[in-house]
Amino acid sequence: MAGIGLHIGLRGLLAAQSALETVGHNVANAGTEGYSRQRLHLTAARALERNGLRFGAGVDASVVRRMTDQLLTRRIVTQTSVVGKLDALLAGMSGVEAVLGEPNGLGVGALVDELLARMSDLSTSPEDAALRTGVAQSAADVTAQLRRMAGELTDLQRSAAEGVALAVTQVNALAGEIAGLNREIAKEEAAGVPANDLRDARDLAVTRLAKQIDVTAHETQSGAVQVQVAGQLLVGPTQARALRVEAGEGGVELFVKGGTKPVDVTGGEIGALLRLSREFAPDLRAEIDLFAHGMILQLNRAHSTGVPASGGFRSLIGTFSIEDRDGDGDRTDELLSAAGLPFDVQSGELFVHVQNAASGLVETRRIAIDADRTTVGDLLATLQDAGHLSASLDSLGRVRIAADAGHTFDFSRRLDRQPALAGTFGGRRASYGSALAGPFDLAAGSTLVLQGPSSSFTVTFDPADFENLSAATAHEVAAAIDAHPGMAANMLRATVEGGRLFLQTMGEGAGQSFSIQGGTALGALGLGAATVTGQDLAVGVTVHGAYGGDRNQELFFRALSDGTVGTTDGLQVEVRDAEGRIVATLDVGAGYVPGSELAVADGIGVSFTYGDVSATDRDAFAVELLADSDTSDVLVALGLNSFYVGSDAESIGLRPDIESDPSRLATSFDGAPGDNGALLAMMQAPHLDVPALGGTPQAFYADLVGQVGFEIGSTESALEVEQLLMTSLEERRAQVSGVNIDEELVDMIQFEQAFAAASQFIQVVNSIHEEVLNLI
Amino acid sequence: MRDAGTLVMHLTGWATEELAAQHRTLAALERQEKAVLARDREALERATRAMAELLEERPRRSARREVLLAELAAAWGVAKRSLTLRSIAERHGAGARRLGELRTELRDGVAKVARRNRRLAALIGLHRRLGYEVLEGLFTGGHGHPLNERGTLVDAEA
Repeated sequence: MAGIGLHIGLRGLLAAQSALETVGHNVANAGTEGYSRQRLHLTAARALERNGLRFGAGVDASVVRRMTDQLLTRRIVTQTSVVGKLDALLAGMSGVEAVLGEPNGLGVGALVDELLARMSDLSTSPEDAALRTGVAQSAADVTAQLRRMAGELTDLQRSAAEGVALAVTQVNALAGEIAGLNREIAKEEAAGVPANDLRDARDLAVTRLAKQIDVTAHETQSGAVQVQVAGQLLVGPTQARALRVEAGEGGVELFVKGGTKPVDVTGGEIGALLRLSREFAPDLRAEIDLFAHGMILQLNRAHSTGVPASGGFRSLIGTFSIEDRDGDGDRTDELLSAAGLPFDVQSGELFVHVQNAASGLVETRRIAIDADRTTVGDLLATLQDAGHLSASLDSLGRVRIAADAGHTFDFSRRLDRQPALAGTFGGRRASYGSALAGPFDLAAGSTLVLQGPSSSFTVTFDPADFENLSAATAHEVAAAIDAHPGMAANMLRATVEGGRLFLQTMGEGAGQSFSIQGGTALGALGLGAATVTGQDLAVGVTVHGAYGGDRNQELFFRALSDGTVGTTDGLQVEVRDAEGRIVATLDVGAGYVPGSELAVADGIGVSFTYGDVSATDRDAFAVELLADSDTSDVLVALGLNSFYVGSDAESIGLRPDIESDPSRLATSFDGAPGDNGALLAMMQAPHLDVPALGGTPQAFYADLVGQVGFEIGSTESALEVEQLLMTSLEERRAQVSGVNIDEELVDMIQFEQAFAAASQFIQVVNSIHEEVLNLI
Repeated sequence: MRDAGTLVMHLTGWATEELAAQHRTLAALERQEKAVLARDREALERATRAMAELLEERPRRSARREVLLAELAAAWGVAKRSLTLRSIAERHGAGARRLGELRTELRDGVAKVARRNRRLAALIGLHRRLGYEVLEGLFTGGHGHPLNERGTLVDAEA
């Protein structure tokens, strides 16, 4: 009996010790992350058999159980991934918001506004050097900010990718830890003892893992926790499979060891970093690049057709290189539209003006560009054909254009204010024009017989001199005639005005004369037999105003009869457009005050000085009215006379020679003092539609900033909601698994009070029975 | 003055009552022990209250016993302190046979009670020591002033 009694007492003591140790363990771990409150479960010990009798054997501390809710735990794991992702996403996006700098007025939007303001100041005084410097500085500030943004976004993309690698290291460490805990728990519980603290540690590791990456975890029957990510096993009962990072086409990709399919991670910090590195940063970078591209396009469109205050150019070199796409070592055979240029070349026309510095005479050449057919070589050849220009590719494949000595060139929308200097309208030269505009249908071997002061000669038209003799252009015919030695010998020349052929003497005055004697090509060329004489007084023609039309056009002015300006009754000059429609009929006879301006159309006027004009000699002149002197954007594509260099946010910069010498800013349309036409056109750049942007650059950027702000705001709101849910789940968990220290302490103190009370009577019982024992 | 026979008879009655009280005391001790083992504070408190009630009855029985022993000593002309239940049973002979039996049972009962009491004392002492250590660790961080100097706990180990 004594043995059983001692046994019972010992078991009871051990059970009591376990119970109190459990309480102490709870209290000691009340602040331990992931700790689940434990409770000792007492059961009656198996009865002992002695001498055929069964004796109760006291209590057993059968098991210490963790107070957990598995469903709640799983829900917390999922929610941890959600919150982890949103948190990391918001951190990355907030960095981008700082890069945009819009809220604090340091962003591109504010800098572009500043640039426009500086341009506006300069437009009131285009020659002011200080204001020019201001524009150059503001323009440079815009590019610096764009480059900074491009760099920051590239850095964000890279650091997010690097962050993935770092997070994967942490994932692998946690996965290894979970596998290790699986093994330890299995070993301990094989002995029938729940490994509560190890289980807590494992749950905590799973939760920490969920913060990094979205996982699902479930406990197998054997008590091990298996962890899967996107359906692929990451942690098994005893082993973890390592996650690795690989660089793929669309950015970094994750693979589980032994797996061939990429792991589609969408949650946790890794999910956020992947989204930042694969989508958010590159997409935003692409948008910024598009914006920069659009701004460069529109600003350069306006600037490339402008003229600096110092006048036209002696030479220009493009900033973009032609690529040898077909690898034949020859870049000139590349199509302009497929030469690897960052801006598109379209079908359209380019106007180049070559000015004789001494005489002021401007020759304008219209170059037709067919995006599907015009090669680099074609363009270079046509530029050279304009006269007094050389055009070639430098060693880097960049177009280089240079003017002959004594000449300058530009691509402006200049208005030829003195359109009749060639002497084809009331000029001092003997001049005779064709009645037809080209192209001319000539026959091979057809002739033109001319008589000059020295000799008579016959020009024979050879098909070799023409691209298509039956559609010979006026320029081709003029070149073929000029090539005959008789022309130079007789001081004669052929020229083109308004698409029509004119034959003239080089000399001026009433003593100059020549004859068109005949030839089989006479009719085809719209010429007739005639003897033409010069005159001593030339009619001066001046064009006034600024062209306000929205399309390029050429106006052809011709005398309708012979007479003297300001004197002859009924003398008129007819104005027709390129389609042959009459635009105006100007009364320049009696009643007209020579030199006074007559309105023509679209803001243009013209005046004539006193002198004789002849319809018989087919006196005429043409005025090119340009709304856009480069409708093909070939100047932008080649980077000629550009404002900004580069083609995206990373490469954009102010043209270096403008930055060092702001006088090179091409603010004028025609080089006239005080003209600010090109500058005004540049100021419109942010407000002009760019097809690739789906609108104007200004609207595009505003949308972009708004979109980023919206996305950040949405993420913030989502995070707030999810964090609230997380807090609610954690509070619920605390109710189930948390240690309430107060509760535990109150429990202990109340027991202590009960023990104290019981202890009082133990002593009394001892002394009382001493007394009885003495009596016995 | 009562005669010895009457006094022995009353003493036998006292011994019977004392034995019953011993049994009840033993039962109370068993209930206390069970309550401590089961960490059932309320059961412990109930058992302790029962013990208290038992002990409250004690003085009345002791006083009655002392009066009987004094009268018996006077009747036999001996010193009271020389009287024991054994000596009374031997002296009175057959008339104290039941007293003799009760004396044996009382002796066994006292031994049981004493043993059970010692067990309970050890058990409670252990619990209080463990609880004290936990509270000391909690409030003093394991070092610093002992709890009892703060008056938060008095160690009254049995």
